[in-house]
Amino acid sequence: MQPLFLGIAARVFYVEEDPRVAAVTDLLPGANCGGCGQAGCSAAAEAMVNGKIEVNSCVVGGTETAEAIGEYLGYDVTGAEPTLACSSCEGGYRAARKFDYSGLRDCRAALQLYHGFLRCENGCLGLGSCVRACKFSAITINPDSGLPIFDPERCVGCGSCVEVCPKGIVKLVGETTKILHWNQYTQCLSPCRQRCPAQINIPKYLGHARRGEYAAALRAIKDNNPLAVATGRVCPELCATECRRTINDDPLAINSIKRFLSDWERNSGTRLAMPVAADTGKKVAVVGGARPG
Amino acid sequence: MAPTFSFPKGGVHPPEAKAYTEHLTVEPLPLPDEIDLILSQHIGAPCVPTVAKKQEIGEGALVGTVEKGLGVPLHSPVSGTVKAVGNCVHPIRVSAPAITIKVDKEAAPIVWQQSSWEHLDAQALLGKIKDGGIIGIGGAGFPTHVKLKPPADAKIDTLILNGAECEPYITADHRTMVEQTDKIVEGARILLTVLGINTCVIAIETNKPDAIGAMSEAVAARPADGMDISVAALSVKYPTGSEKQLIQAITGRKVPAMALPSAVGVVVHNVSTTKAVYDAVVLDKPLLEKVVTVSGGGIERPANLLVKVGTRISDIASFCGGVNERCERVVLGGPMMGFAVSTLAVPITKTTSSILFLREDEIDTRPLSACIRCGWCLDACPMGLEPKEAGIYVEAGRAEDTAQFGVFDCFECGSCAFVCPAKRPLVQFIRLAKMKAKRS
Repeated sequence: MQPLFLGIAARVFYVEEDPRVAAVTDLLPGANCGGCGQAGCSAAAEAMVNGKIEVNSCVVGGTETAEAIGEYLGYDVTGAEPTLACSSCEGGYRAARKFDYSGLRDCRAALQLYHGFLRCENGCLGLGSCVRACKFSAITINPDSGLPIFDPERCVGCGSCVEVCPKGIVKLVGETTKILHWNQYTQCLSPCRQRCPAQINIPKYLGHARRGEYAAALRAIKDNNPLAVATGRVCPELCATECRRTINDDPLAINSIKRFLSDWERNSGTRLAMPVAADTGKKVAVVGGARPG
Repeated sequence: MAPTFSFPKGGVHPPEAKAYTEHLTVEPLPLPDEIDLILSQHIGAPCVPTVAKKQEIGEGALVGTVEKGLGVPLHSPVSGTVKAVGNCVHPIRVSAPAITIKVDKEAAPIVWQQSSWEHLDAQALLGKIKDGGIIGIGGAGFPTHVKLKPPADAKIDTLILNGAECEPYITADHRTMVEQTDKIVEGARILLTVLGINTCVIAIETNKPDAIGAMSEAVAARPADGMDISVAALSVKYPTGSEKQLIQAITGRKVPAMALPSAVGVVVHNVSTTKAVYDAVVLDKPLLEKVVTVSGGGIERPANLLVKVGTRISDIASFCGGVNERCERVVLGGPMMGFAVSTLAVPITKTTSSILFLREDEIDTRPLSACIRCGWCLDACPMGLEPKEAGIYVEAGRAEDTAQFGVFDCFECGSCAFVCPAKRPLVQFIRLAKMKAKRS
């Protein structure tokens, strides 16, 4: 009796589902991570089919998944590029403190007390709210510097960390933004970095080089200037004119360190893989040769 | 013995530690070299400075006004020269706009002339209270004249004067009640006249028997003239001095969630505020100084001091023999609800009742651990909330879902954090929850 009843009920109460939802669900990774803000992959598929969220909302699947879903649903998603989290603070433990904080280990809670324990209004508190917000274990706090490290292999650009950072230090940045970024005088930057015509993040690469992390240091240079070997030899070193060390004696040999790093790569026999923006299918012509080109 | 009153739910018994200062007569602090008058002394809009740099001002001169919104004017507690109109360190915020005044120590102090007030109507009295810059100096800093103008539909029948002073260490209200008894009784009559009612209860915790005795005598000695002023003894329990708990203890009426005391026909004022009302109305003296308890094991000579508003903690500490090397933490306000300060350059405000210099054995720095769901915080919470749940939700990153645990009814008394065996900073969790959750 019961099977018959169930059979009838199944027909009477049959819910017609858009067949595209099932197809898009199959295209999604099925991790049910919730990184897109939906309850799971099938909920995300339904939202995509109904046009409620973008087809590239899946942070785990990345560009490939977005393109596959886009192709199926008839959207053009070529040229969409992934954005990854990064932090703009390099102070960490170096920043002067107003007082010893012994409360809740949470940046937002700490900020409620005298606007944080750092003298620097913009500095990273390093209590790791972003670490706990990350669903993909892409963020760790460096115990030596007290600053977050973002693992680009694991970061899917979901933005949970951006949301919890009370100081607005964590940002999602894509390759295009990085390349097109132009320093402003109103930004809180070190004098050398502010002066560098190539806008290289000098404190960052010097810091990495000091700790022997040569690959990371070179990557910081190449973010803004791919020709480290050449500039390491011919750069007019405008940064040195601004170096705070000159208040005491001589400026740091900033450019020589760049030259050392580029030579280290040349002699290592391998080449660092550099992140590149997604292929747009367009070509570029360079007028002129070498650096000024 | 007469029955003592108490609130029914929750509460804790922290070590009272009032023995440091409860027997010490209030002594005036000599004039400091400079003072910093923070322009935002009260809840509401900050004052706009009405003086300029290098201007010479006399004691009691108006230095700031509030044009729009909630607020009271600010007066200079000293004679001197305006050194700067800029910023100074603030006890809770990082820095705040303030007027720095270089004190003229040679100037003769003003003698405030007494005048009668009985012929004045409520409106004139309210004006005097507002112009005197009177705010709730027990801690909240709410402008007093606003509290004395309850909504038109509220039927007020009782005035409660809050002399509970349930926070450990603090004895400022206690000493004021013992030494300024008659002024408080006269102030109560002024408040009753403004409110147009006859019933006033002065509520004092039983750990201040001399204050209860002195107030009862003063009330009995003054002819009633149709006013019913009485003294009620409260059982010692923290936080009896909280407005809603005090109302429930004295009248048995429960103030609804998110409502004001006027909803149950009660107005509550602190006893020290009442004394300030007396000064403003009878002496025409604005709120210029404050009784501050300087206490704790980290200061050489604990004391009750009469301090000019704007005096820096460093001046007060050096008058009290200086900070000894065992001092670990300096707290402005009581140990339960006060704020630790990061520098002694912080000036006191109209709402500062105490400065505590605490030794390492008077503070608790053990690290927090996970909630063991023992439920002690539920028993301790005087509002009947669930602090542990709010804490767990905040830790799990779901602070926005905590309104169901009543976080907006929390007045941050700290009873939950005090009893928590896992040393969880529950008040901090709830503050974070209030920031993220939506008011319904």
